[in-house]
Order: sequence, then C-alpha cells, then structure tokens
Amino acid sequence: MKINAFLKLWLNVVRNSIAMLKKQSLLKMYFILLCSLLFLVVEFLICYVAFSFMRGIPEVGSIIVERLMYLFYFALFLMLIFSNAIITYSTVYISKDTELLFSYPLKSGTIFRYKFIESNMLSSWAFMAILVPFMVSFGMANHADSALYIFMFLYFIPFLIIAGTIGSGLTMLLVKLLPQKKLRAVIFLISLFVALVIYKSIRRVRFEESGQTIEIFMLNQMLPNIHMSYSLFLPSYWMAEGILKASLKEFKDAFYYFLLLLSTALFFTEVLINLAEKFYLISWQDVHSQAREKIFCLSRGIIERIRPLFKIFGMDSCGLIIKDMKLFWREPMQWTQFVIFFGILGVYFVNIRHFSYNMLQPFWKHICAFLNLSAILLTLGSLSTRFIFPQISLEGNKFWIIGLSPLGLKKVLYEKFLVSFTVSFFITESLLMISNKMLGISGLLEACFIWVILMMNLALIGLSMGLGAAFPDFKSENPAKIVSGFGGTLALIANIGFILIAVAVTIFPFQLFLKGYISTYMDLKKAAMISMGIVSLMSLGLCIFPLLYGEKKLAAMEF
Amino acid sequence: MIETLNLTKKFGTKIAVNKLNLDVGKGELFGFLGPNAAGKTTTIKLLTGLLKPTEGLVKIFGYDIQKDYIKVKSRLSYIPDVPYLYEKLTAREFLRFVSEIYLIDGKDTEKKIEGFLEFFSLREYENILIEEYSHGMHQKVVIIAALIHNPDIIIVDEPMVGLDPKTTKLVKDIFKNSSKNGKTIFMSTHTLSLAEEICGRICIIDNGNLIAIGTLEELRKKSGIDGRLEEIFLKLT
Repeated sequence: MKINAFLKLWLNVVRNSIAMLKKQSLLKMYFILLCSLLFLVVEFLICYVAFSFMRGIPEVGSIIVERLMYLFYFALFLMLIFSNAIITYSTVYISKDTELLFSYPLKSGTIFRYKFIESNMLSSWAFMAILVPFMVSFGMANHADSALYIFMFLYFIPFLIIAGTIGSGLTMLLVKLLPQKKLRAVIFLISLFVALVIYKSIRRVRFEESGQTIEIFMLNQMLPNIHMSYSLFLPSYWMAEGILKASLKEFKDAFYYFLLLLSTALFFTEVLINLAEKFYLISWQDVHSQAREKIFCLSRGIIERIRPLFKIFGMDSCGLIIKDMKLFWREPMQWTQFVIFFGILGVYFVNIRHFSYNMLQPFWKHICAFLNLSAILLTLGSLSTRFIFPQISLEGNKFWIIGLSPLGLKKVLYEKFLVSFTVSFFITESLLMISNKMLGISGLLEACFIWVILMMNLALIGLSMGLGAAFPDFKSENPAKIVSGFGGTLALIANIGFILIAVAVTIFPFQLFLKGYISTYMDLKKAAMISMGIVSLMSLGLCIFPLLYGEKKLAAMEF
Repeated sequence: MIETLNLTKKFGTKIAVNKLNLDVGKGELFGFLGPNAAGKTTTIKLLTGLLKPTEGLVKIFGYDIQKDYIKVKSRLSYIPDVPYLYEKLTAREFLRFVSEIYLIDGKDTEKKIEGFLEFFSLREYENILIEEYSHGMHQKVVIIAALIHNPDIIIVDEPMVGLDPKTTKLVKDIFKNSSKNGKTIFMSTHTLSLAEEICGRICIIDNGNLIAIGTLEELRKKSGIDGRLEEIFLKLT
C-alpha cells in the first residue's frame, strides 16, 4: 500500500507537470520537440556514417567497431556510476522531502526505494537520449535483425540499474564511513585512484612480443587499449558482447548476456536495499548533523585571501564573486565533476605520445586533433549546461537580497557570466595547449584552435547563462532537477548542436587542403580565416542574444 | 508519553542540547521556549527521530524512537517550522498521499479530507497546485496532514507563523480540545502570549541547557517575577 502511495505520488507529480506544460506556449513546446528531434536525427546520421565508414575498412573494420563498443560501454558505465553517485547525494540525502518522509511511519528501505528510482532516472535520462540514436545507427549500419533492437531495450534497463546501485551504494558507504569535512579530500583521492587505474590498464606492447598481425598491432597503437574494458566481470562487457552477438543473430548467446545483466541487477538491488535498511537512516542523520558542524568550523580560507584581487571590479561585484566562489567550493559533489571529466581528458592528452599519435600521418593527426577539440568542447558543453545553466535558478529565494540591492540583476547576470567564462576558458585553453603540444600541431591549425576555444567559451557559457536566466526554476534547489526542465534541455541541445556545427566549419578548410582541393598555404590561410569569421559571428550571436534575452526576462520577472 | 533521559546532541564541539531530562504526560499541552539557537528545533528533531542523540535517550509511548520508530511515528505527528510540501501536488492529492502512508481506510479518507479542507477554508483551493499557495495556506495543509491520522502526540515547531487571526484561533482551539481529549501537544514557539494562554506547563532552554520548567505559577516563583511570561522569560534567559 505504501509503495502504491509513492507510485500515485509520482504519477500525480508527472500528470500535474504535464498539465502545467500544456498551459505554456504551444510554440515553445513544438520548438523544443523539434530541436530534440533534430538533435537525435543529427546524432543518428553522424553515428550511422561513422559505423558505415568503419565497417568498410578492410581487415580491421569489424575489429574497430568491436573495440569501440567495449570502450563506449565501459566509459558509459563509469559515467553512469559517477552521475548516480553525485545525484544520489542530492536526491537521497539533502533533498528537502526526505525530512518530510522520515517524519512519517515509513521504513528507511521504503523511502530509499522511492528516492533511488528518482535518483536513477534523473541520472540516466540524458545518457539514454544519447544512447538510443547511437545504438539504432549501429543496428542499421550492420543491417541487423529487428530482434537486435528488442535486445538493446532489454539490456538498457538492467544496465542502468546496475550502474545506479553501484553509484548509490558508493555514496551511501562514503557518507556513512567518512566525516563530511574529509569528503572533499577523499573524493579527490578516489578520482585520482580511478584515473591511475585506467592509466595503468593502458597496455603498450612491442610488435615482436605481441603475437598479433601488423593490422591488429597498428590498431592497438591507434585506439586506446584499455584492458579493463574487456573484463569478463564488467556489466559493460556483457552489454557490448550481448549487442554484438545479437547483431550477428546469435540470439542464444545474446539472451545469456541479458540474463547475466538482469540477475546482477536484481542481486545488486537486493543488496542495496538491505544496505539501505541498515544504513540509510543513520547516514541521513549523520549528513544532517555534520552539515551543522561545518558551520561552527569555518575558518578563513584561500578564497578570502584572494579577495583583494577582485576589488578592481568594485566592492559589490567583488562580494558577489567571492560569494559564488565559496558556494561552489563548499559543494564538493558539484565541483568534483569538473575535476573528473577535465581530469580524464588531461590524463589522456598528456599520454598522447604514449599512443604514438604524434607519429601519425598528417591526415590522421588532423583527425585526432579535431577529435580532441571536439572532446574538450563536448565536455565543456555538457558541464556548462550542468553548472552554468542552474546558477540563476539556484539564487532562488535568495533574490530578496541581491534583487533589492542597488547592484541590480543585470550586474548579477554578467558577473556570473564573466566568472564562469574566465574559469572555463582557462581550463579548456590549457587542455587544448597540452593536446596540441603532444600531437606536435603548430602554426595555423593551432592558432585556429586557440581562437575557436575562446569563441566557443563565449558562446557556450553565454548561451547556458542566458537561457538559465530566461527559464529559471526558483523552486528547486537541486541542480539536476533544474537542468532537466525545458530551459535546461534546450540549452543542452543548443550547446551540442552548435559544437557540431562549429567543429564542422573549423575542420572544413583543412580537410579541403589535405584532400588537395586547396592547393596553396595562402589559400588555406584565407579559407581558415573565413571559417574562423563564421565561427566567431555565430559564437558572438549565441553569446550576446541569449544573454540579452535572459537579461530582459529577468528584468520583467516578478518575484 | 514523551520522555527524554540525559538527551544530548553535539555538532562537532558545539553542544546543541545538553543532558535534557523531560517528562511530558498524556493530555498535556507543553510549551517549549528558548531564545534563538537555544536548541529547540534540535530537541524537536531528536524527539521525532530525525536526528540521532549523541548521548541519552528519547522514549515515546515507552518506546525508544531510534529503535521502534515505525511504532512511534504511526501515532505521532510533526509540524516543522519550515515545512516541505510536494509543490506539484494539489492539497487534496497531498492529503491523500499522507492518508495512504498512515494506512487510513480509503472510504473514510475522502470524507476526512473534505471535512478538514472545509474547516480550514481551503475547499475552493483544493485542486490548485500547492506551489500557487501562500505561506499561510501551506501551513494549513501541513496542519491538516498532521491531524488526519488522529495522532496521540503532536509535536509542533512554531505553529502560528503566517496564519491569519481566524486560523490562529482555529489552531489554538484544536490544540486545546485535543489536549482535553487526552492528546499530548509539544509546542515550541517564540509567541510567548500563545504559550501563556494555552500551555499547562512550560519549559525554557538556553544554550542547550534546561533553565526552568513548570506551570506559569512555578516559573513566577522561580524567577521571582510576578508578571507576564515575557518578563519571566527575559529574566531567565
């Protein structure tokens, strides 16, 4: 009966939210639907072309696809665990409704089940949206039987549950075993450990020792050979292997992997619920006790020491900057996402020579450089949606302070934009420099990349900040929930769509040059300048107009 | 009904509640007073099992709240100072959810909900999402949710904040009648006139320590002030 009550609660919330959506502008609804559809179609087309291209490579085509599948699901599995761990903390521990639920005669396991489903869904929906076109394109490029799609659907659910149970379980154990004050240091150490394990599992074998054909040996040199992704004990391996078997119409084996995923998901869920029965209430109580403890333990930290640096912006802006920096720093669950995602990219870029990418032929080296640029921009795109978009919404009820102050909301918006831009520009430009240095790229291409990163930072941060101001959600205090609304989805789609367009425009003259359509260096320089001009115009437009729109909406808003 | 034995709660080195011993009987309307940061809300959260004591014990109906919390909570209600409600639900939907949580029979639920909504003048807003409600209307829904399962103990943290005079009078009457009918009300408040008017016994804490406890007369004797509760409170804290 109590589970029924939660089911009804959830259904009522969804039904009322849809009813509220229907009351909004139809044009807005259709626009977001159209954008989402367009995004999925573009993703599908890119993946389809890529899979078809790889399939067509003689000797090693199918091996490349196979390798990519293992790597893709391994990376997805890690990201899902991480995402679940972060969102479990905000949804299961610090969400305000948990206090209400704990005041009712409910077993902690019952509350946890409900909150776990919520947290798992919040953590996984974006990955699912990306995964579906990827998998459909894989099936179509392989002319697979329609049964493959049924298997893929069957695999998704236990796969998401397994990642969710591990992520949530990790958070529960960390919260239970570690004092909050040390959480930052521990999360940092764990991230470092994970990066180190991945790095160590990258194998470099000499050709004579490998016992492989020259094609396979070269492939191993070109694709990061993360040994761990082939572990028989990993659900990501079962998922990849099952999908590959289903694509080869070996349905008996495919079904075996489904059963493996399903039984593991059920077993892990059972273990997690048992852990929750035992530890959830205690760890929840600890979180709510320790949060207060921190208030009594505050001391003058590094942020206070650098305050004088910001005084040049005026006392009011300095106050805002310091406040934002402190709030960000005191939420380790938030900023560690920055550290981990950019950290993984950093580890990979530093090791580019380890993979001998710098020895590749110019064509492949350029492809590699553009893929690195895309990786930096896609990470920036998703993190800016995750962190920059909710910034105005998170001010929420605190608007009575800054909203009534002589500072004005316009200044608040632009202060947040400038601080976010400065931080992200510094990180992404540094990563790009490492990638360029390691690949041995210089001259015109390097100059173009540096310019693109500058422009894209302006565009992505401006777009996320502007849309965040235009579509705020002042009621929610959970960034993940804020992002999952209309504005957040629009920002994510627009960010990723623009990245794809900007990278394509940037790459265009260089590909023409490599294929011989542009013959002289001077012509290439002119073509590159035109493409940079186009990227700059689009970027400035995407920075300025959303910010102005957000500013206008914010000024017209009634609090 | 409510018993605390050497109840202590520490946040790091800060002692929020220090060896608190209370015994609140059946049918009592007990006032719990103290200046800001005295430890009132922490004590209430300890009584409701939302926080775990560093030392000591909370016994409600003779059960340890930390161990037998389901048994205790099914007969207890808590009205927090800053209540959370599911904003995307209507009042009726929220109250139905609470009824189901307390396993109240479906046939009676609708009648009960309608009665309470009528009583608190919320009938015309029952199908509007809670996010559209004023602070006072929020508070009314929370109070109904606390009463719907007919609890034996009601623990209230600042009950009258945001309520209009008519509803304040209604809530006062509900508390008084509930107390007469054998229900225990444990009420934390800063509204000293309210405590003076309706509470049988009053407890004052400061910095986590119990300063005084007793009827108004007993507090007058202890403080040496033959005046209003406000003067006594200011003298003692």
